[in-house]
Amino acid sequence: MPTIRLQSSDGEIFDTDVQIAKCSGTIKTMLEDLGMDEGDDEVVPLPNVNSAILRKVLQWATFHKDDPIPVEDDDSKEKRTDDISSWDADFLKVDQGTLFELILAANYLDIKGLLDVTCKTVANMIKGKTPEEIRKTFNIKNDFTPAEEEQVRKENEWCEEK
Amino acid sequence: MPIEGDTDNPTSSKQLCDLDEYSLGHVFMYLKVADLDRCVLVCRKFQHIIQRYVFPKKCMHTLVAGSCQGTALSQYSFTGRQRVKLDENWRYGRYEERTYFYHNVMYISQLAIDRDWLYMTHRGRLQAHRRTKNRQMINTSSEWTIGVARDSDFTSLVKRDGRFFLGRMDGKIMVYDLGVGKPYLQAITNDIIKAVDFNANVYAVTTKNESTYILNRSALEPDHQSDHGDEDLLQLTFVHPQAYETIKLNDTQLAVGKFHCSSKQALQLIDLYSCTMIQLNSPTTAVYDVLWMDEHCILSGNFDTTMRLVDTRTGSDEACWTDPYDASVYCLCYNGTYAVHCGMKYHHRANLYDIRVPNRCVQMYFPAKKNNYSPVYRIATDCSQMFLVTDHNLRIFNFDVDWAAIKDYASI
Repeated sequence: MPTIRLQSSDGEIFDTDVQIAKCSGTIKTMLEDLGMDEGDDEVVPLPNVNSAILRKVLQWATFHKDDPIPVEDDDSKEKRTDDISSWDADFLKVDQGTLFELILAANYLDIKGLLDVTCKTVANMIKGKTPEEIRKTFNIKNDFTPAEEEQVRKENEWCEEK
Repeated sequence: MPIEGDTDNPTSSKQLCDLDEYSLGHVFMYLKVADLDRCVLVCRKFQHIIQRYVFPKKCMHTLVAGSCQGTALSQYSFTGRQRVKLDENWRYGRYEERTYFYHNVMYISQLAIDRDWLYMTHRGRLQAHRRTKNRQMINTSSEWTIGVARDSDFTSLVKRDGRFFLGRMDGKIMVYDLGVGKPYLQAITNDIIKAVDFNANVYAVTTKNESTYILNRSALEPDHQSDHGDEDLLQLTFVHPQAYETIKLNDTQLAVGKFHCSSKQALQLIDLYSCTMIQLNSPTTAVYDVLWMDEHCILSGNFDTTMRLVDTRTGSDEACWTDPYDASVYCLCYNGTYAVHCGMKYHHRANLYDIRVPNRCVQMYFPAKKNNYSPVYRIATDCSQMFLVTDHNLRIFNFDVDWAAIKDYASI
């Protein structure tokens, strides 16, 4: 089984099955465009991903290596968030920081399946919460002035039955 | 099973707000308007991303509320956020309903809408009702009428720009130009007219039992206000010896559907130049309504409970939607982008289909207060309202409502 060597931002080397590494669009393009041959001893540097996160990403990619290739951007479909598989749900039982790191990594590595499932997980954490609850959950500072906040609130008012 | 244990889960101090706009936008795309409205209030960064990126992107893919045609027919101009909210209301069945023009005797009214007006026939009379921005949605007293109720019933109505073209039970057609005084009547046949259509040059009429007539407007354009003598406004150019249930013109062809064809060849084309019939390979025994989706593609509403998308270049069905409740499709309305509204045979019901998603019904609308099992005979929509003609009344649905209860039949 051909492998390539991925290097995380903190210098750790991961010997990875090429098929698994190629679920990342970024790595796939790099291998194809740069003509990196399989079996080369060259190292692919991934300066935006640390070893802890890269390990998680590869764990996800290994489990999902036989998934069908996701359609580019199927926006006609309703955006559901209740279709996360139990394996993914378990896999994503991590602290918030790691979840966000995974989103950034999925984005940088261009792994659509991982990006979707991590974003769905965050969306589920937002659903049904009040603005104050959202700020508390994600430790966000309210940077609106009261007048601005009132203005935004007014713009988005839902009508009552007259 | 995970290859590695869960013991080495990393930790990180990254915050949600540390994510870039693209990633946050991706998260927000999964939220509905109610949640987005709350997120907008969280902080400036959220507000910016949602207003500048999320609503415009969601708008581009809306099923009903984003279509130019639907917007052009609407009295309202909706913001991006309002359009996304409207689309959710169409999808999940949040609407308010009104019933108008109740009549005891059963007859089928013809229907057309434009931005400011609802046009409806009552037996032999054509009425124009002003559409209003209040909760009534229309003014029930008519602004003008043509003809009288005791005239022979109108059986078909097409309005393009300022011109109406109608067919009657007694075989006469009527042409009426808005603001040009008197309507013009011409006898075409002794048979009952079933359907009519017209474009810039060609007028088409089909009857219940006999033939289909292709007519051209005479070059002289006689001013039908002055008495121009015996000359007919429309000159007969071709008679096709076959009657159809429904006909629709494009520039070069007439799409036609038979009321019954035991060999399942009910959908055909008539080429206007050669005057020849072209058989389409859409295996259906009866077509009740047909329309041109674009230059090449036809949508058909069928007896066998399907709505079919037929490409005239391949001559075959490209996609098919079957009614989950086993009712025939009586009438169709296409919004120019992705949505097709179907009037069904029973229970005053209308179905909403997404042409991007074959086979699946997005939503069904069952009007309230049913005292019979009437079909929907005619249907018209804009981006926020839907008009249904039933046996005994007109029903209008308004989807621009925040307070209405949700009647979701999508997943039953």
